[in-house]
Amino acid sequence: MTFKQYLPEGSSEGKAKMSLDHGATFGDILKILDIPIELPKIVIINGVIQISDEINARVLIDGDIVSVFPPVGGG
Amino acid sequence: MDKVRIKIDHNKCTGCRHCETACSSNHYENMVNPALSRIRVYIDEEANQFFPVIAGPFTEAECTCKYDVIIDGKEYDECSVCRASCPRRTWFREPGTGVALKCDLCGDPADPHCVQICNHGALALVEI
Amino acid sequence: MEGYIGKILRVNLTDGEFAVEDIDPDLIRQYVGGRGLGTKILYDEIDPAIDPLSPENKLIFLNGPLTGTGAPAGSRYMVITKAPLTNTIACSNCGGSFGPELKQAGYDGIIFEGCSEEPVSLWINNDEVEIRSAIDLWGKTTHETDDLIKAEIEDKFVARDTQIACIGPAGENMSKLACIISNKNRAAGRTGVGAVMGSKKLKAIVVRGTKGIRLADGKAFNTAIKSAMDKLNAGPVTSEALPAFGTPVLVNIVNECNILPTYNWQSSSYENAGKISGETMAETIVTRHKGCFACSIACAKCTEIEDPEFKGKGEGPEFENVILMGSSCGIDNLGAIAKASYLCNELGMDTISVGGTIATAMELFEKGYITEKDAGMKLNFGNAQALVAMTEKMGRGEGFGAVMADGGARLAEKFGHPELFMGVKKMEAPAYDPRGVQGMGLQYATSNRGACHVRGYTMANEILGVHEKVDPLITDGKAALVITFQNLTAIIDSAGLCLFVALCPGFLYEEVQGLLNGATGFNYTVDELVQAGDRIWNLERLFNQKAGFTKEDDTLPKRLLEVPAGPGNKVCELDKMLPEYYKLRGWDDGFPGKEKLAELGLE
Repeated sequence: MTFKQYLPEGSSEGKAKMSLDHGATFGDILKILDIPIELPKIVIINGVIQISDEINARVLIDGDIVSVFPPVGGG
Repeated sequence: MDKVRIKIDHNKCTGCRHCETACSSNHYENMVNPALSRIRVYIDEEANQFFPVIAGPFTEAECTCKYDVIIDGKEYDECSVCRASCPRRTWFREPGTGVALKCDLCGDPADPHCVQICNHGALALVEI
Repeated sequence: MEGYIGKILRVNLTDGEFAVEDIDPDLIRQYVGGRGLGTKILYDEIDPAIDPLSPENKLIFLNGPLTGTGAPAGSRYMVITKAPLTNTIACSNCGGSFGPELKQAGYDGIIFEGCSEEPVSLWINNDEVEIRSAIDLWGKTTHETDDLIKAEIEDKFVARDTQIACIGPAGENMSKLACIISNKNRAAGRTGVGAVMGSKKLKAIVVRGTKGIRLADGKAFNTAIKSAMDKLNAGPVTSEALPAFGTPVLVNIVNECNILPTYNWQSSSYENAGKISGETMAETIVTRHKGCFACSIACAKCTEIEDPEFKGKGEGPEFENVILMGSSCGIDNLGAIAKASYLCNELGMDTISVGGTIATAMELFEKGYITEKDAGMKLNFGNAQALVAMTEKMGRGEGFGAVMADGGARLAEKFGHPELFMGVKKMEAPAYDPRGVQGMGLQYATSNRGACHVRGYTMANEILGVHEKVDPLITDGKAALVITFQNLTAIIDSAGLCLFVALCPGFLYEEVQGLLNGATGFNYTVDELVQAGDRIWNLERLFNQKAGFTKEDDTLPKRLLEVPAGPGNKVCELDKMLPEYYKLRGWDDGFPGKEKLAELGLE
């Protein structure tokens, strides 16, 4: 699985800048990018892995770096 | 039984040989032995090519006329991918006795265990 | 006996004698097989204090009960010996088709004793066992050895069914980073087991087998296989991430989490990680997906480099070595990393330790502790040519490569800066910075074979959230988590399964139990397996205790304990986790006491 297909226009190397309304949540990003909310995923905000079940309600602030990965593993 | 056949897509094969264990354990009770399998995977480690080969007819003698085949730019001798149970080769003959092994599609109706176990789509049962 | 063969081949290389012995079924049941059983045999037969490269050391190749049976990912053989790199117990584990073939030939494993005067190889064709001269093979790479042995077999169709495990020049030179290679690119990689093989002048083991493995209950076993495969196919890692991208799928995520060793662990993220990621590999160099014996995952990636400077083909690189040779050396040239990995396979060296050692050398060089004159080349971070050239020199034991071939700990020590070695018990650490994933720090410190990720992969929960999501930055609960993974891994290894099954949600004791019981008829309960995992771990610990290790050795490099880094800007808080770990293990003063030994039947 890859989330590549959900990348917005103008993104490069899997990264994009997004302008969001004040008070926008992580769940809002998923909606904007059309990523199905139920897809299993690993979420990292500013380098910190998010383990909360309530992650979709997390309010983002200006400058937050959000990474979303499908389930991965190896080693 | 003549309504179905196995389709092999060698490009999807990963060379894992799971088909060999599944075949042998289905034909021999409580036993796993690739040497008794009616499907074998020819693994060309040099070219990273994997060719599943399913046991076909029994021949009493080695072919007198042979040809080579070119697959993805590399030449292979015909025996490498041949499906005969033949004295030239160890495959498809019971070790020791030499009894010929032949694919029977795991019975009638066909239910080939190699196809069931193949996780990579290299083997498929198709209707004719 | 079912699942197992019940036979082990004992070969004395000093006098060229060999014998086939029965294995005590009670021992098998208590230690499951492979890693557990091999450790028990080694513990009973050698003094753990011996020099690992002396003739007194033994080298045990041993399968698990599920190896070669058709259990998914059941391809593993294990090499158990006293490790030259770490001086601990070694169990190094390898996939491919060698283990299954050895079992088909009628042996669970082989015990090598003594030491040959001249290079030899062991040839096994079912009941026929023969020690042959390997003088002509000595000095050859693993790939050349494989080809030459197969060419020696008159019938080319028999040759194709033959499986080989061998060492390359690194093992011959007794480099402490030497591994054992089978199927040309599969490695029993870590702890220097290849050097033990080299010390015994054993170049190769050549096996063909057609006898079959008996199963206790073929029907129940097939049901268990189906259940296991359904799980693996439902697990996103085992059904999608690993098949599509292989282990390097982790590069991007580990980098985003700020736990990616960079510049010999001076930094924990790498600006050019994207250039060496699994996604980039898949787009640029992967030519084919490949699976070990009976594996439904098929994580191996055949690759090819076209860049004339680093031209070559082979398998990998894998995640750990992409990082250790890549970001940890400040190198973003995938071609150079792949080339160095190919060289490791051909010369027979552990890619992780080679990468870690070169990264240490680069920091020593940058800080002026190693000069260009010492090294014979510039070893600056980012020097892709040096990575490849030094890997070759290490593998062949040439020039400064001979100095580096015994690993980063000895190198850093020699040049007066042991603190720049990034590993534990002299083994180079794998590619997760424990300052941002605390459980892995405890795991590195307590692992029975030095800094190692595959003794207790708590990453699975701490970052990847496979079975349960756990906060990687806290220390609470990590001791219990580490113990759970360590014991489970001991069982997965000993059974002959690949550890990657545990990257599938819910693939825990119950799945292994189903497979084991179908194959062996032992009717193991889960409790019995949990206890067996604990028993194996404790026996390994006892071995290390007798080899002279103390709890002071359960530590981490200073940098990880003192210099904050990573997402929480923290150090690895080992002191908060270690006492709890000992306590939960039931150990007094860092080692199992009388009570614990009695509980496990280890008195």
